Parts: sequence; C-alpha cells; structure tokens
Amino acid sequence: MFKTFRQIVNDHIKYYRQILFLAKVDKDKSFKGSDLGWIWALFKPSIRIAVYYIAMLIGFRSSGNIPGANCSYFLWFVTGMIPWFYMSDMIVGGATCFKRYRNIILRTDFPNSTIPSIVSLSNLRLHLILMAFLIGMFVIMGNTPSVYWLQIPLYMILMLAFTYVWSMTVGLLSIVNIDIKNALSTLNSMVFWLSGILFNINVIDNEIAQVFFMLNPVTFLVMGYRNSMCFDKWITEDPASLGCFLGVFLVLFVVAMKLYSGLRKRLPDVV
Amino acid sequence: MGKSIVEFKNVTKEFKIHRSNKDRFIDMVFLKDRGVSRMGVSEMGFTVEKGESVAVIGKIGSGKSVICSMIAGITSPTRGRVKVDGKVSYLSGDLRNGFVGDFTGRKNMKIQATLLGWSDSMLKEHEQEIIDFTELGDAIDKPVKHYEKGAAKRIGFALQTCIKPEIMVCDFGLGFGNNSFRAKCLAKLEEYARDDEVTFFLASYGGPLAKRLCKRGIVIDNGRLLFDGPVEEAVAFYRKNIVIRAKDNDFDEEESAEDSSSFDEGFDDSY
Repeated sequence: MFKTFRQIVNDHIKYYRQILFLAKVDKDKSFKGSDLGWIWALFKPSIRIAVYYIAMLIGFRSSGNIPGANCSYFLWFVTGMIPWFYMSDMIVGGATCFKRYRNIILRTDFPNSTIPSIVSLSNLRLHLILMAFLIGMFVIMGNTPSVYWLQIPLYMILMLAFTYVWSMTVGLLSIVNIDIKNALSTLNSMVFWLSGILFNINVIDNEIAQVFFMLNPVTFLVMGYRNSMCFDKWITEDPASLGCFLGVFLVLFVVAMKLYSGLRKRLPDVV
Repeated sequence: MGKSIVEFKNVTKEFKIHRSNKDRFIDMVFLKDRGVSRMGVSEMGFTVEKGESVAVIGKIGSGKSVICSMIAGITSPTRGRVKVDGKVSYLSGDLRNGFVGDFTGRKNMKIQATLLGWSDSMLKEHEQEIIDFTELGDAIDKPVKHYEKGAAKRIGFALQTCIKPEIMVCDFGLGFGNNSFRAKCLAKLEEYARDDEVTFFLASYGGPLAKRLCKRGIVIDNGRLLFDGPVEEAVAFYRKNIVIRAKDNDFDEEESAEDSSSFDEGFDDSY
C-alpha cells in the first residue's frame, strides 16, 4: 500500500505540469462551443444560491443572524454553499473520472493515478473564482478580512485530498459496477440536505444527528469555511470534528490505495 | 549480437469474462478468481534487438494489439516478464488521443503533446514542422469537428513521428488522407523501419506492407507464437496455415471486411 502511495506521489511530481494543463482543458471543453462560455459556470451556482436563499428566507422563515456569527445570514449561507458546489461536482464527477479518460488509459502511458487529480483541479478553478466573489461580497458588505481567513487554503487542501481519495475509490468501483454512479447521484441529494448547509447544526439537539454530522466530511468542510469566515474559529478549536474527518479520510485512503494497487495493472483491460 | 531492446519471457495475458456484473465486481474488488479466462497471449517468448523491424502478423483477435500494448507499457502481462529498454512511440487506434472536437487543431496538438510528455519548448520547436507535414494550412486553427474525414488523424500521426523514437510500435489503420499524403506517411514509417537506431514493430494482417517495412515476421494465432523468422517466410506461413479460405479471392475480401470493421477507414495494404 505504501509502495502504491509512493508511486502516486512520484507520478504527481513528475507530471505536475501536464496535470495542471489537462485540468484547465477539462473545464474549458465543457463550455467550448457555447456563446456564453464560462459565464454558465457562474450562472448556475448563482441561481441555486438565489433559489435556496429565497426558499429558506420565505418558506422556512430562517431570517435573522446565526447566533455567534459575525456576518449576515446571507453571507453565512453563501459561505457554506460554495464549498458544497465543489463537493457536489466531485461526489458524482469523481465516479466518472476514469471512464471519461478512457482513451488516455487505453492509448498512452500517461499515469492513471493522476486522473482523479485532473478532475479535482479542474473543478477547483471554478471554486477559486467563486471564493473570490465571496471575499468581495464580505468586503462590500462591511466585513473586513481576518487572520482566521488564512485557514481557507488549509481547508481547500483537505478538500482536495479528500476528493482525490474519494474519486479514486468511486471511480474504480464505477468501472466494475454502473450502479455505483446511480447510487452516488441519490447520495448527492441526501448529503446536501443532511450536512448542515441549509441550517445551523449547532442548534440541533439530537445526539444521533450530531454523530452523523461529526462523521460527515462535507459537514466538516462546510463548517470549516464558515468557522473561518463567519465565526472566527481556528481549526484546532474543535479537535473532535478534525479527528473524525481525518479518521474518515484515513479509512477512505486505505480503501483507495488497496483498490488502486489491485486494479492498477488491469485498468486498461476493464475500463 | 546487438543489444536486446524488447524481450518477452514466457508472457501470458489473460482476460476474464464474467457471467454477471456481480461476479465481475467481486473479482475486481476482492481479487477473487471468478469468471472464465480468455487468453490474449499465451507463453509468448521472443527477443528483439536494437534496429530490427518486426511485423507481428495475425488475424483479428490473434493477440497482435495485446503484444503491441504490452511493448508500449499500456497493459501488463498476467504472468511472465516484458522488458522494454527505450522510449516507445505508440501509434494506435485512430491517433486522436485526447482530441476535443470544439478545439482547434493547434490546441488539440498541444493536448496530445502534453499527454506524450512534451515540454512547451519542445512543442514550439517542432510545431511548424508538424503543421507543414499535415498539409492542413490555415485549417490548423479551425475546430477539428469541422475537418474532413481523416484530417484530424494527420495531426496525431505527424506529432508522434516528427521526433525519431527509440522504439516505434504501429497498430493503426493508414486509411486516412489522400493518396499522396498516405504515401508521405508510409515513407516516414519506412524511414524509421530502415533506421538502425530505431526498433520498429508493425501489427499486420500479412499484407504487402509487412514485407515492405519489416525484415522479420512473427506469426501469432490465438495468442500463441507459431513462426518467427524472415518476413517473407512469415507471410507465406501465415497465408498457408492460418487463413482459411473457400476460394483464392475470398482471402482479400475477408481481410478487407475485417479491416473496415476494425478501423474507421480501413487498413490500406496496397502500398
């Protein structure tokens, strides 16, 4: 397993330039041929934020500031939605990463271990643009940047690492069973509604729900962004959440390495 | 005796055929031995020295592409050892690996060069030479989806042949472009086949191309090596012992039918 991990790290170091270029191309080709191009990438999340915000405000009457937050409900809300957009793309997108790059697997000796990274980094570009807009909104609405915001890159790295092992796992499993991808589409909706993106998990009194939130990596990352920008909290102030996230990550890491180690040589035969 | 560049030592490649998706999933994920084995290559052993030109001759499904992809490092043997000492230029499939229809020929060239491990400076140095070879002119800056049939493959061919390789493996159909362009491609392949610095492999159905480009022929059938010797004798052995024909002229029609079902535009063996 460690030999596989070392090989993956070496592949990424040796081919980092190609990975970054292919990640850029991966997203560009989604919008090539359309007149509005990249504007669609920003339009879609903007509409979703607007719809959910109005539904929460009017339908669920969730107005007023979140207790302990140093920003408005709207900013708190958007801060959680932006990492979710990235995670949502990767929950299902990760499952198709190897199939999308089938031609590369079958016709070139380009390292297959880098394919999940290409997809992760491809989606990261949009995430960075949305974060830039978010920071702009914070500043415009009177919230000055604080030292806690410096944690955002750390949460991004954790998010990238998690989505890599996730994509490696579900991507390989999806090759051998198409039901995996269908299950993930369903899981995507479930995770969205049960991860505390739309509501404040700190006021939920249910023990089972709290355990679920602790073990849910999406909740950890969404709360991480919110803790940094809205609650002025360091990552180390909630060691239980951090520990649970790292535990889940480690389990998925072992599964991903074992799967890749076993399937690596057979990948061109089965993809 | 020259330096051994490619060595196959008791190489066996098995493919698994599963009765159900459940069996396939269990086999792949838990590495159980379910499913029926189908031999791609069986106990294959041969050595090729530097500068040799070898035709791998066989019918469809005989194992030619399996051997070629193992030399290229795309797929690994199930048992045995494949030793390849040198950088491989692998011309396979339809030569448009990584191409995106909405991108220009120039951008697609950059994508494929990236997949081949080229640096930006290397591509810049050879870019005009590649464009000149393709004879595409201004069309290089138009989306490849608007190219006439076969035109995009010119880019793939030119890119993979513009720098002299150490080992060249050809497993593709040359039925693209007009007659003069095909003659130019064949001349290029012949240049490398004759070069003592280049070790050359050609997957062939035993036609005139094998005799024109190669000096040595290995005949395979059902994954087994049946003959290894001078190419004229190899082709004669193949036609006498492997190809079953009702009438003499059925041979050519049978091969042509196989060719057109294998490649987009067929494998033109008339040069």
